[in-house]
Amino acid sequence: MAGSSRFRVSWSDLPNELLERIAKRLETETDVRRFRAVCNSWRSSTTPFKKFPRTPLKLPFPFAAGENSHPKHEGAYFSLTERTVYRVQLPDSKEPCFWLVKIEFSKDGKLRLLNPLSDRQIEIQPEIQMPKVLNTLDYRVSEVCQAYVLQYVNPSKPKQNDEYKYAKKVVVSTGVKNDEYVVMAIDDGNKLSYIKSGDQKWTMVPDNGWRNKFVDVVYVKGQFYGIDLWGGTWVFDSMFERTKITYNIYQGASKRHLLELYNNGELYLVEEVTDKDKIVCRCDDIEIGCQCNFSRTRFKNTAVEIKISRIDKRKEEWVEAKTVKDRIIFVGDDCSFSVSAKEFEGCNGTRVFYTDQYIFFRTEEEKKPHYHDNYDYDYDDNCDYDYNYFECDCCNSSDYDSGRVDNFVPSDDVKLKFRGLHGHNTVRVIIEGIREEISEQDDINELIDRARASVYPLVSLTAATAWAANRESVPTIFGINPACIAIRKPCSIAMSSKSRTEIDEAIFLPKARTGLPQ
Amino acid sequence: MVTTDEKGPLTAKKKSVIIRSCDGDEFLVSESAAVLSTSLKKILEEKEDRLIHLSDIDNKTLAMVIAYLSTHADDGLSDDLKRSFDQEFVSGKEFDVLKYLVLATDTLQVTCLCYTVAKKMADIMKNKLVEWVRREFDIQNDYTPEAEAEIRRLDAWAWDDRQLEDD
Repeated sequence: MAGSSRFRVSWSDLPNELLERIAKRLETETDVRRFRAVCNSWRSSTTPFKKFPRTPLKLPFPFAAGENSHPKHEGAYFSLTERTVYRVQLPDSKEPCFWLVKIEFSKDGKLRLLNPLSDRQIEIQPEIQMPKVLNTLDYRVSEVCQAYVLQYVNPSKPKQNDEYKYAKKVVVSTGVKNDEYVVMAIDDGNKLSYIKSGDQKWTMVPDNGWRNKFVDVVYVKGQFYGIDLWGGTWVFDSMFERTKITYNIYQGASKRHLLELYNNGELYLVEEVTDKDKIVCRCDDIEIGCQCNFSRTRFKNTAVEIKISRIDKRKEEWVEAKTVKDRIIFVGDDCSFSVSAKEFEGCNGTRVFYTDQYIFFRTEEEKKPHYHDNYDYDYDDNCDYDYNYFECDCCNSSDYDSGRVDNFVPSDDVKLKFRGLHGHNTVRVIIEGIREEISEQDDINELIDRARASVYPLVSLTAATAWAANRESVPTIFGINPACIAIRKPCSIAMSSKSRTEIDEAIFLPKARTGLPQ
Repeated sequence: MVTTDEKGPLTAKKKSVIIRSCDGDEFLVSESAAVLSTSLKKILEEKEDRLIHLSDIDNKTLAMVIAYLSTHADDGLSDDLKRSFDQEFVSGKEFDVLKYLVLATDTLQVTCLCYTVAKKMADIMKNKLVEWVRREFDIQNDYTPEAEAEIRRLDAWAWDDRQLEDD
C-alpha cells in the first residue's frame, strides 16, 4: 500500500480539477445531477450539466415568408422544446425492471408525461394514486433519447390545441461548438428547413433541382440525414447541400423512419407497410411519385408489415436487414430509438413499436375549414369516433372517413381480452396479462370502459398498466414496459384478410412472460 | 529492483532515465517515454540528473504508468493498437487502483492517461444510484439534512397536474 499521505486521500477529497475532469466525461444531465448529489466536495467542484441549445428556445415562425401569414399569426413564434425518453428502474423491483417514459420539461419546471412515440400527453386517471413527485435520485434513471419539437406559441391565443402541427419532425445538432446549434425541421408540407444560431429566419435546404419533400430527418454522429417521400436518402453537408446516398424505393410505405440502431453511425430504415401500399398505384410516376393522393387512401389501414432495412453502400440502396437481433425499436413521430431487448425480461428477438398515422381528431364541423389552412378551431380530442378526421403523414393527402380506422375483427378469445383496446391503433400495443392480473369480470369491464373513454389506446393502456400495477402496491410509474407489450414481429407476411386474425393472435405474448408485477 | 523496458541492443543506445517510487523501487525508462509526462519532461529539461525521485507515487502505480508511457512512446505500434491497449489498461481495475492512477497522472501530467482513467470512472458511475456510488467508493454523505432535502427537491420530477385541474 502506498506510503505517502497522498494515497490515503479518500474519493471525496480528490482534487477539484480531477473531480471536474471525471464529471466532464459524464454524458447526460441525469448522471451529472447524480454525481453532484454524492457529497459536498463532488458538488462544489463541478458545475451543472450544460446543454446547447438551452430550451425552451424562441425561434421564428413561420418557416417561410408568406406561409401562414394570416393576421391571426401576428406575434406568433416557435418554442423549441426538448423531450427526453428515460429508462427508469424501480427500486428493489421484481419484474418489470425497466420502464420507458417520455418527459417534456415545460417552462415552469413541471413535467408533462407523453406517449413515447408521439406528442400526446398521457392522461393520468384521477383515481390512480399517482405520486405528485418522483425523485430521480431514488431510481436508476438513464437517458435513452432526446427529442425536440417546435411548439407554436401565440401570445394572443394562450390556449392552443394545434401547437405541434406546424413541424412534423425536428432535429437539433448537439455537441458542436459550445453555444452553437443547428435546428432542422420538416414542416407540415414536408419541406425541410434549417436555422443556425444567430440566424433571423429559417432557410429551405437548397433544392438543386430536387424536390424538397421529406418524411424524416435525423442527426447521427455529427451529420444530418433525411429521407424523402420517394425513399431516397440524403446526407447534408455543413452548407446544407445534399448528396444522395440511396436510390428511391419503388414500394409504398405509409411511414418511413430513419434511426441509428447500434450507436455505430450506421443508419437503418423502418417502414410501415399497409395493405394499400402493396397495391401498385397506376399513376405512380417513377420520377415524381404518386399524384392521385385521394384514390390511394392508404393511411386508413393499419400496418400489416414492418420492414427494417440497412444501406447497401455498394449498390447505394436500402436492403432488408436480416441481422437485426434483439433490439426493441421505437419509431415515433418526434424521435426514433432502440433499446436492447436483453434488458427486458421476456423480450426475445426484435420488436418494433410504431404509430399508425398522424391522426387529427376533429368534429364534423371542424373538418370543413381544413383546406384553407385554418386550424384555429378548438377541436375536441374526445369527439366521437364517427367523426374522426384523418390526415396522412406521408403523401400529405387527406380524406374524410366516417368509418373505423381498423376493420380488424378479433376472434372471440381476443375480443374478450382486448375488447375496446384494439380499434384505433395509434400505437399498436396490446398488454397481455391484464386479464390474468385482474380476476373479477367487473374489473375487466371497468378497464375496457376506461379504454373506450380514451381516444388513444396507448394512453389508456398505459394508465391501465399502472392501474393494474397499483393494485399490487407496486410504485406507480407511467410509461411503457416493453416486456408488458406484445407487438407485431418485423416479418414479411403478406396478410390476407383471412389470416389476419391468426397473425394478430400470434403477436400476443405467452402468458407466462408478461412481465407484469406478480 | 530495476525494471527495464529496453528490448535489445538497438534501443539500448537510447537515452534513459531512472525513476524512483516513494517506496524506493527504481524503474529504467527511455527518455522518449518519460517526456510524455509533462512534469517529467520539465524536470529533465531543468537538470541533467538522470534519477528522478517521485515522493508521492507508489511502486505499483508507477509501474502501471510507466507501462503506459512506454507503450505510447513505441512508434512501432499503430494508433488502433494503442487505443485497445488503453481500454485494456483501465478495465478490471479496482476502484482504489484507479484512484491512485488518476492521482499519479495528475502529478505527472499525463493528459491522455488522465483522460482515459477519468472516462473509465465516469463509465463506472453512469446510471448508478447515488447510494451505490457512496457505498462502492466509500464516501460519507456529508450533506446536512436541509441541504440534502434541497438537492432532492431540485432533482425531483414534479408532474404537471394542470391537466387534471383543467378537466
